[in-house]
Amino acid sequence: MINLLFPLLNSDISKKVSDEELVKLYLETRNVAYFNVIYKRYSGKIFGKCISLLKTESEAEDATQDVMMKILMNMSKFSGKSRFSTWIYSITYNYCIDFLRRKKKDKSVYVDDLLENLDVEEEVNDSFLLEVNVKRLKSILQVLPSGDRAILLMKYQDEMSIREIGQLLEKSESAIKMKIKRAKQKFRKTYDETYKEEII
Amino acid sequence: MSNFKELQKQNEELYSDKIENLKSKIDSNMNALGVFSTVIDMYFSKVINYVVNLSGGELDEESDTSEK
Repeated sequence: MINLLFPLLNSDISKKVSDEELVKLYLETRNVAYFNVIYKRYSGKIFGKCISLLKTESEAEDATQDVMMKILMNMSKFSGKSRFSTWIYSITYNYCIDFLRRKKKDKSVYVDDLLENLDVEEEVNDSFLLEVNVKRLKSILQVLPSGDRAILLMKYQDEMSIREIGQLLEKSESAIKMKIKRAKQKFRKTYDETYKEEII
Repeated sequence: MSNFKELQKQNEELYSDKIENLKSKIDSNMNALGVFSTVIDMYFSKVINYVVNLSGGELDEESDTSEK
């Protein structure tokens, strides 16, 4: 029905409208058709993040549904200070991290893991992570603790800045840098252990 | 495209059916929400006025605190 009433939103024009314009139009008109465009743009990405973090499809489905409703309900709170995508991903990560905390599935999502005493190892280059093939990347991410997985996705998939990640996790920039460094080290270690034979 | 972005794209394609199905659930939530907010828009201010009237007329915070 909506598609019939708002044919323009199904045409190429909808592709040219920026996220911020869609938010503005939705808030001005409360027309669901604008939200539908946002849904089309982001639902897949949100689901992908949820399944990466929560692992099960049913939990990812529920999470995506809840996150989309949160976005809809809080649209007026989007200030425009950050990119709309960053804002949406922040809601997604916060939701998933809270969910995991509640379930106590994985203690690594607790902030305390920042304080753990790991040996200070050599810095892992970004190029190492970015050159791993997709299949291996997926399998390594699946076995990493959720906190490390989340922070790597924030940095390398969503290209969030250190500052943005810090705001999301309510941590200082130096703490975030350390957390990324450790997540990269764990990634490297897991990779080396998993594909040991090939490396030799 | 980086490997992280490629992974994201693969996940989107892999679960496209599920994502499509989710939309109908969200639509029904949105419809329910729409009805609820319409009711709130129409009647909430009237309910507030009614409660204020019942409790003795206009609320005056200053006189209210001075009485205490």
